[in-house]
Amino acid sequence: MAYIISIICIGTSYAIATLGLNLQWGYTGLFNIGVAAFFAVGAYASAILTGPVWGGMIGGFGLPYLVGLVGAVLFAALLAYLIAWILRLEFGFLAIASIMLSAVVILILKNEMWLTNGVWGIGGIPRPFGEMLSPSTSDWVYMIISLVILAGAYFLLERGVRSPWGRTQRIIKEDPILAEMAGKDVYKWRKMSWIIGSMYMGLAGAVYGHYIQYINPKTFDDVMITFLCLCMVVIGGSGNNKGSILGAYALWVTWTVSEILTGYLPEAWQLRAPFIRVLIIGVAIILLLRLRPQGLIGRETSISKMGERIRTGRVE
Amino acid sequence: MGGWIVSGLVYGSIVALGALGCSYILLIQRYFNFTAAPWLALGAYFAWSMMRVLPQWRGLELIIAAIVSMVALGIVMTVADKALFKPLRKRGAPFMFFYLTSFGLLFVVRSIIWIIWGPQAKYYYSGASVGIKGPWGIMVTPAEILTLIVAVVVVATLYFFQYRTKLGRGMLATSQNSMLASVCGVEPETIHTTTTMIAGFVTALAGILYGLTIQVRPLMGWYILLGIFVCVVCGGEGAILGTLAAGYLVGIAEEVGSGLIQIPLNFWGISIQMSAYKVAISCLLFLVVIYFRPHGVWKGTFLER
Repeated sequence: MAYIISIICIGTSYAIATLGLNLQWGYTGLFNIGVAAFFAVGAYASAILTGPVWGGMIGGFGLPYLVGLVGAVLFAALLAYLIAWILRLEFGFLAIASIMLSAVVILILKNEMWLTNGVWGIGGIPRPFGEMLSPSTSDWVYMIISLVILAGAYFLLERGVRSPWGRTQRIIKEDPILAEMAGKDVYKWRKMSWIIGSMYMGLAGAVYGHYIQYINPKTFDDVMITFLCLCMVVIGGSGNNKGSILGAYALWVTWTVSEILTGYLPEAWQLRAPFIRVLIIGVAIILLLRLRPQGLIGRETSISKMGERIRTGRVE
Repeated sequence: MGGWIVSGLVYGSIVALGALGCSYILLIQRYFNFTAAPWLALGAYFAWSMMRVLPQWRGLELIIAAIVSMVALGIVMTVADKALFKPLRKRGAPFMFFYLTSFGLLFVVRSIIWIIWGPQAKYYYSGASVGIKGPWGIMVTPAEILTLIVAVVVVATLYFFQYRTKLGRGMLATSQNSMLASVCGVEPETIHTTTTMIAGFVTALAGILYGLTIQVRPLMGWYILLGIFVCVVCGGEGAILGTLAAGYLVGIAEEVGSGLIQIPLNFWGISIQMSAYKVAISCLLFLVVIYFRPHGVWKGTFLER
């Protein structure tokens, strides 16, 4: 049971990050492969604001959980705002710039002992109501809290993308020049999408950190988080929020179940099990891109019931 | 100072060789090849396995291993290109699919390397090599001298190939206007094959030189991938001389830059170790270049070719 709760909790945090990436990629068409940077900044901001002090690092503020979440969102937004001018770059260059951003953020987390306690990481991050409840009850409560956060995030994003704001973002993905001619400042709109998406990623990092209760730079190192989030968006169908959540859970369940399956491998292959899992995920994503490029659900073709009626010619 | 410059040049030569492969793929197929990282490691491991088989005789075994590994990597990369990227090109898929496929391939190749060769670091020759002392604190090992020479030779060969042979000029034509080129009798698939083969050759060579000067490990490509991308952007896509010069630029900026910034930091007593932030310096270089010279540093000079 604890296993299922852990799948749901971590899957939820990935789902929130995937929603943010879906806003950036699926709606506005920004190819962000620096998800790990925002995720890490969120997790660390929340951990420093609420957690205990380790080594020589700053902290020990002991602020409540909610303040940690808000702090995570704000710091991720600040980072996104500071780097926002890279949105003027074209597709591939934006990708390179964002992956560099994540590399630099990880380097800072690794080396600045006074801020993050370096490679030893931060442990003992408190959960909400953690001290009043027994560990197993606390798991349950945390699962419910994270699902509520996911529901809130999903609701807000759905409202956003179905408003004129979201329609503008869609047209910027389809045809930026047309959007420019319609009088929209494309850079400004991209920046909004970029910052809001990054806020979601920071929130996801905070939810993740408070569940795991221990974070270190190694957690966010490499491109695994970024790659998983990208795959989640593509699996669900980019430009579809329901699809993103579905993709996140589907991929996360596959990822954890593959851990159980590799447990049955012979003794000599046990050491190689993690690499075999990565291999399986890589092959799966390549096959999916070949065989079902639109994703499991696919892109929504209309944004409202009225739009659907107009599109299919059933408007009276 | 002299030592910094020399180690920057050596590192820059390796980065430039890796970047040439990426640059060709960017020129012809229009995407940044993330898979370059594990390909580089795979090339190095091919050579390592060959070296275990061959008897040692005056360094000839290294040359044979290098050639075999280059050809092998070229063939493997071409097969992967035909199997995975050709259908995407046929379909006219959006850029995202190229990037995601190369990302997926990155994980596949990396885990294959891990599964076959294991995570430990490996060396071509056991034992520390003797450095040659020069003036101004310069200290070079024979492997580093070899790296410097090989990079220049490879760049000269590629330059000759690109601008003096029919196939090379066909590549340039395809990159500028592939439809017009195919009307003039340049078969696009031949160009794609040639590009991938050449990319395989130089990537394997970069991996071998990296293994020779530092060590062979599964994540070796990942550590210099960002340097490679910076080099591609600085050099301008498809510019051969420019890529070599940009490689030197990146290498020297990382080595000399981190050394020079460290001096005032120490002076003011700020406890930041710049040697840990070498990658950050090349990222900064990328941002500066992309802001002021988005078509490469050498645009409009003879290095543009």
